[in-house]
Amino acid sequence: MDWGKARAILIFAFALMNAFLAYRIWVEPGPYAASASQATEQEVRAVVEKLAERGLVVEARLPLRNLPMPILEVSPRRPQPLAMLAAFTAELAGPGPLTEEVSPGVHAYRRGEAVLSLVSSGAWSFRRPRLEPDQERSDGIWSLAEARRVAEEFLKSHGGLPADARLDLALALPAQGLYRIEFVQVYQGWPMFMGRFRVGVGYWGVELAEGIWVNGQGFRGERKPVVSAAEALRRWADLIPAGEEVTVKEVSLGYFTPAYDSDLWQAVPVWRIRAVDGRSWLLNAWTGQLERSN
Amino acid sequence: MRLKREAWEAVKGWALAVLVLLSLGLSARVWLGAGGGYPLVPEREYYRAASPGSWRQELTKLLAPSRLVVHLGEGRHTAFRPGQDGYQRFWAGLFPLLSQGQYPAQGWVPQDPEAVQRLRDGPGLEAVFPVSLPIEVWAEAWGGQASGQAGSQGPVLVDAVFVGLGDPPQLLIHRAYTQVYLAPAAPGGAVLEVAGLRQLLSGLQGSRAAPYVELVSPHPGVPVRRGIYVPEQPPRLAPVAMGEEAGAGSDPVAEFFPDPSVVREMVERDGATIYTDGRRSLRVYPDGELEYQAPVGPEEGESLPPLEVLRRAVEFVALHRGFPEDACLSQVDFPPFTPLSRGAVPYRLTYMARHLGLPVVNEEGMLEVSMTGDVVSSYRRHVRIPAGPLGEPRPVISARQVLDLLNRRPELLGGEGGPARMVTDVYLAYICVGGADRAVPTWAVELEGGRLLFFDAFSGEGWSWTGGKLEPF
Repeated sequence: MDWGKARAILIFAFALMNAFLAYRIWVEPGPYAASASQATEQEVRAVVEKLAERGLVVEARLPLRNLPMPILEVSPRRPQPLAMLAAFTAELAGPGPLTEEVSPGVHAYRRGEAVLSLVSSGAWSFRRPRLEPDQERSDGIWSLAEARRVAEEFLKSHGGLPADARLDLALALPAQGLYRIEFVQVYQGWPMFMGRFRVGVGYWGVELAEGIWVNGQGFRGERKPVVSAAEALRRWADLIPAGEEVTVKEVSLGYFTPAYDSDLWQAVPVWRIRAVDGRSWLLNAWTGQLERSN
Repeated sequence: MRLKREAWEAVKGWALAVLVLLSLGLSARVWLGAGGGYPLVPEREYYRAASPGSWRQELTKLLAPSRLVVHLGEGRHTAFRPGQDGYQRFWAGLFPLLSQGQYPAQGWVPQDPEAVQRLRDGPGLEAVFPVSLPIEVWAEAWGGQASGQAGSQGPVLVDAVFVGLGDPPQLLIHRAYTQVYLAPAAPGGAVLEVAGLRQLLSGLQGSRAAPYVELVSPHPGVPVRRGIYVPEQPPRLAPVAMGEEAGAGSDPVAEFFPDPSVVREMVERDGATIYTDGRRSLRVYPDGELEYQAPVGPEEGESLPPLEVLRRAVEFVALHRGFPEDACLSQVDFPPFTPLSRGAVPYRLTYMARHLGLPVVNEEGMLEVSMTGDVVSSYRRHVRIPAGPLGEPRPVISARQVLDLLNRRPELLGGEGGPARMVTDVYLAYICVGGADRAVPTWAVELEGGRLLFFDAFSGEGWSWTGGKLEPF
């Protein structure tokens, strides 16, 4: 046997294999990379059944495998106070003086009970009292589809509805006489739960609106494995008081960071667990800890 | 030629061996990384205990007396504060006596203040502590024997002890902000071991220890509690510059987060840097101040006995930059004393610095630890250390002159026409004015009900301590 030739072939083969392994580990982990977090169907079923015994019903479809995810850096978009005031001129019209209140971190305009406020983090909110019939429109808003259309038009005409917005929630809340319409920001396919618009549409018009939008600055740092959806649900269940019944409508991965008075934020991967009543919990997908609930 | 070929084959052999080992390593990384493998950070506080026993030593230092008043007999008195010659000797002599005492939670009998004052005319030692705590907590802190449960009126709060060295020797405890001294109803029969203290006392006779006198008010409108002793001759003090503590540049992420790899960092526009792992957060200001938060849910945490709370707080601070030299525990906000039940019960402990043995009061605070159940839920640190005197020491006004100032401002004592609040303590202290960069000597005046006033020790200018803030009056 020509050992020399055999050695050369083996060297070539191992070099090729090592190059492939290195590429898969560091450059682009594939869907079957062992560093991905995963759960079997049996595990998922077991978790769902266990939660159901506690009155926590999971109607969402859970992903079995997830890729490691890095940090996402974002920067806040800070709307200019005067530009926002101009956009809300009609809503802030009426009797009484228009007052401007400036305090550390907050800039607010108020006429009567209508308030437009802007926070230094880039968040803004508008609130006004319940609208009466014919106060702003003659026909009422009696369907979710109509509420959604009204919300979209409102946002487009008050600062704009960016192209990276996606409808995230449309919920009728008859007990409050309100429809809740929410849009979430999406960056390279990933929902950024910290970038969102929320519009409360009453039967006679928009009664509240708030939002914060960010600029994605790219992914940074090491990709770290995320906990499986099943584990996220287990951790979420620990947060729910005993005896409370919740139906989970959606379990999805995205990014989140609280808002800071800073020019660059670091968002972490999160599991969002959303209930049918609109409540949501954001769990850090690396550690399983609760980041935010609302 | 043959040699060259053999060498080349050897190189190829080694290269193949390296490639095989490398592929084994890469394969292992791929396969062993399966299933996530990323440890979940535990929800609860990542707690590492300090070395056994060290917490007690630190706690003893934090609870050491603010001053020791030595009653030499025949109406002569002196006093020592931390750092002064004599303080350590007398404290070392007193501590074993306290550690051998028995401290029931109930059954303490009020004493006639005048009778106690007569005891002060004889030989004795009085320790005034920087904080008021329930007697059972003191008992455990000193290593003494606590017994029983607090009565329906709540725990007996104590901030001073008096040891009469006459015959028989007596141990009395002082209830905070009142003039009631308490002795146990049943001393237990054991005779206090006071020979050592008597010897220390006799060693002071004829020494040049600074004489102290009882502060007696010449003004009927300024009532003063019996038993407050002040220097007969005003001491010489100087304002002092306060600087940042050393080590402020150490790695905060490694200090406060069990898993630094999941910590993200943001710089706020005011220059503060925020670190967070989603649950814990740490804010570090440009001047070195830091605030750590680890919120605890309502279902989390276990109630701890008070001494255990003090221990956990000491260990936490010791692991996170430590206590500055001469720090003391100045306030403990305990929860209401209801029957203990499971669930988060909050405590807040405040620590204060000392300079030349005198407390340094700072609006910005120095160290504050909040515990919710058994978890440190917040930690605030803004340590300023003395960086040198500002000017030459000069004599301060006397305590008697402070009473004169109070007499001219009756509204400070509760208002004209109404009953004036009693002055329950007077002592020298530093306060930080104009930010935390400079501390000036003052006379601190404590009033019945907890009100605290400060008088500049040179000019007499005054401040009221209200809600953690100095308000000039």
